[in-house]
Amino acid sequence: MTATIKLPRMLWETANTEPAYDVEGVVVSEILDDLFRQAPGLRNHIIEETGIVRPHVSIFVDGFQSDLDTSVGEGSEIRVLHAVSGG
Amino acid sequence: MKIAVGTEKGAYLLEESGGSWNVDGPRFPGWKVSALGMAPDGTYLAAVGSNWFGVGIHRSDDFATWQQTETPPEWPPELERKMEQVWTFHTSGDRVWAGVAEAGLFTSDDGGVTWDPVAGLNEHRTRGDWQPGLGGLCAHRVKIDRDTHWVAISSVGVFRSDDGGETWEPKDDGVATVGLPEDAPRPEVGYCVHCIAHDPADPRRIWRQDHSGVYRTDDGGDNWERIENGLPAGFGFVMWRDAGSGRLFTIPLEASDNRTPVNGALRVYRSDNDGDSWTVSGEGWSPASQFTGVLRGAFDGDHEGTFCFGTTGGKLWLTRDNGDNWQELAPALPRIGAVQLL
Repeated sequence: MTATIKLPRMLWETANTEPAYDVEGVVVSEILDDLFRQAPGLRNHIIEETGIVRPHVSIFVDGFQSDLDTSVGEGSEIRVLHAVSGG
Repeated sequence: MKIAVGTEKGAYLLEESGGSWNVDGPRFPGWKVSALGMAPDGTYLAAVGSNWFGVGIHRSDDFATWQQTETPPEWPPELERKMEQVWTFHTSGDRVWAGVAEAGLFTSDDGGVTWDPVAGLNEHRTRGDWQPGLGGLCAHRVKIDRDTHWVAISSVGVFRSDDGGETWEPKDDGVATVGLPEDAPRPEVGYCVHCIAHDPADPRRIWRQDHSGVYRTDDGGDNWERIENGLPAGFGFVMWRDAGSGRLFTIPLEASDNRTPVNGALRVYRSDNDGDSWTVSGEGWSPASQFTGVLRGAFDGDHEGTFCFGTTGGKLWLTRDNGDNWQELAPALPRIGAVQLL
């Protein structure tokens, strides 16, 4: 499946990446693997050392909150969002 | 003159122009800039972090354009430790050292691009007894003299290596414990060092701002003695030794449970006798109360009489005459955790 993944500005600006990538995969984990292949510096910011998505980061597929096993459809739009918190 | 400042919300570059200070920034908007440093080839280094996206290491030739490295220091997954923050960079020879939280040391031999853990410290036999303090479990200061290395870890203590970083031993004899009864057995670790400074010309003489007070060692940390004569409080986070003049600087705060200047009087204290006694450093201090703190990384100097420090209230103070006269700079920034004179 070919999908588009969009990143929050706070992340892509500081990590020196593109704001969005065309990515391949049938589940979110594969989508992220393709994203990290294209932009290796993003892995640490989205995935913890233990391999899980960071606790204050959410992955949405076509508007629905998802996890690493969620299926991705052809043309899906995937968004990486961070929690609304801080001061 | 230029001053780089790392804050809770980005990095800023202050440049003096016509008697005022231009503020360029923020770089890394929204990110905490926890440490600033310089690689052996002169490349600027910045450590950033956020509550959402973890830590990152950035490199720059001009402090204007930055490039993130692919991987910051990382803990192996099997250790189940979190890389919470890079607290300090220390460059010695061709190597950059990074002190991090959860506490540990990493080294880079390529200017901060890739990092290797310092196993002798990170997996020390006492590690199971390391417990975090209010600021977390962080390695925040590194000092190096040839094969002798020191690292300061909050709520754990000072460790010294005499073999270039291969093996390490705790060095806290004479330092008071924190949070234990006076008659309790002295633990091997659990000493809350806040900052250390030494003079490269006499590196075994080290000054220590500890949670429990101000100390000096003349033997590389084997024995510590209190040196608080003239200080209004023993608590604080700053200890700075000016290599040129031998003058010491610290900034006392009231106490652990009230980390502000005593009676709101923000003052640097200095010593011209290696810490035997302390007095207020010069003039220029505001008569108005300033209940603000100064953190360990927020004090920097050029060892030629120019020093700058930033406060948790976002203000900067500068002296150009080795602490005789101080000036509060006009710009107001977010909470300051790192200052570097460029």
